[in-house]
Amino acid sequence: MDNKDFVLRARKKIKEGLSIDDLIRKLIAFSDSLEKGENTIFEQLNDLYFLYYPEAADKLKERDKFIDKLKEACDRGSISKILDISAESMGYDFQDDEIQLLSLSVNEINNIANLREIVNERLKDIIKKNYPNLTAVLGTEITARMIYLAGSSHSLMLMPSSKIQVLGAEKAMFAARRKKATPKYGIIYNHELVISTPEKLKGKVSKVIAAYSSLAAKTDVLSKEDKSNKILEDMTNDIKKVRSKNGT
Amino acid sequence: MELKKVMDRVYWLSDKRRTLVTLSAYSEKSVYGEKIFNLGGKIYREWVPYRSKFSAAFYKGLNGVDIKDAYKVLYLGASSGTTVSHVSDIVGTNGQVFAVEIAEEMAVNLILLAEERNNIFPIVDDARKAENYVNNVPKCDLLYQDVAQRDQTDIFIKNSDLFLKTGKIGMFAIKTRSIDVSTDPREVVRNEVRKLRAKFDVLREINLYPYQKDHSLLILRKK
Repeated sequence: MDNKDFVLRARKKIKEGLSIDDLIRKLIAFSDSLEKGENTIFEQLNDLYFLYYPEAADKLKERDKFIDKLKEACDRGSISKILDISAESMGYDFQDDEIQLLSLSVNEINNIANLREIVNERLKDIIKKNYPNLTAVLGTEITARMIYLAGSSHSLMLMPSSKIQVLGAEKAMFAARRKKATPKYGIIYNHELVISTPEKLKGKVSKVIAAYSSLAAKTDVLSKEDKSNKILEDMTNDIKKVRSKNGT
Repeated sequence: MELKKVMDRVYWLSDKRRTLVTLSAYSEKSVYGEKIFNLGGKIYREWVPYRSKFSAAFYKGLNGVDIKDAYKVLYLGASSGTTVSHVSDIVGTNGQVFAVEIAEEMAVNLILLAEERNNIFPIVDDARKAENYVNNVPKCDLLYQDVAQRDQTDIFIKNSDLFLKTGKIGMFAIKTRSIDVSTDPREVVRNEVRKLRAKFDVLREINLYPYQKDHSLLILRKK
């Protein structure tokens, strides 16, 4: 007996089992680790820069600002002009070689940041094209996260909306098994409609959004029709109702 | 370095300390980064106890099971094929190893291994749903299971009913943490053994500590 048939069958099964969700999951993980790398390099680089020019490093503690200002040149002369501070510094005087090293590193972080931008852009396109209803309800970023956390769009579709509501809050959910109250929201908290809601109603609004994202996920996976307009309209009406009922 | 035979194609290689090796039935290539020994023109592959529960059982005092040349083996939970490659060494080119694995990323490695080793028959399927592959797999001489699922005992009984010949050996790696985290591991093993008693004679129970944490290997004979 030969194992050729088995190998062929297994290969076919693997190929059929892969879907766009696998690509989405990998791209999100990639984008996350790019950001992590960016932050780690930035922290060390800011530390290094602090040694050379502490007055400027103190003003450039945010990553994007740091990259933006130091992109062109890193020496004290040009930075002092950009930030409008004195070029006299109490830091250690670096040789030209070290300054070159600094600007090389800044460029490197900038490259990583650009790459992440490209990855996110591509991710957005994929999500928009494949899950129009979910995108309408949640926006591309949260949709991508939801699929990442659920494992696949199919398992997201199978979830009840109460689970979708607390997706991403697993730690609080398990703490609630002991004594604490159950969480009201997971990653849905970052939804613009939840952010713009007063603190007291956030739980109620996220419940409505979760219900409609469950509906949207089912529409996306099962019927594959674009009914985003209707879903979005219904959802805004419901949220309005919740808000007016509770007096805001 | 001298070789001491444990069973067919499995040897202890004693140097400063003893190392378990299998006589390679195929190429001299390392499958998962294990050491390769070339003694008198024959290729031996190290069988690492930290990577394989089967090997850990030998290190913990097992001195042979009923597995030899041209045997048919059903292997559930093949993963990327670490232990499978050694089982394929033992049964040789005339034997057959039917390796079941559900996780796609692991199964890819298994399939690549099967392309090099013609006695491995990869099946990408759920071991719970044995009816899916019942038509492709014949009656086997050995059933080896390592799946780390909560219902692993039920999976084992179901597959042995369908595929294992009477009087042949079943090897069952129990991961106690998968069944119940809160109970004492020994208690968990005792409970599972009680379930298995109806259909199997329990020949041995080997605790795989320190090579594998919270794992026991049961050697059973089908009644």
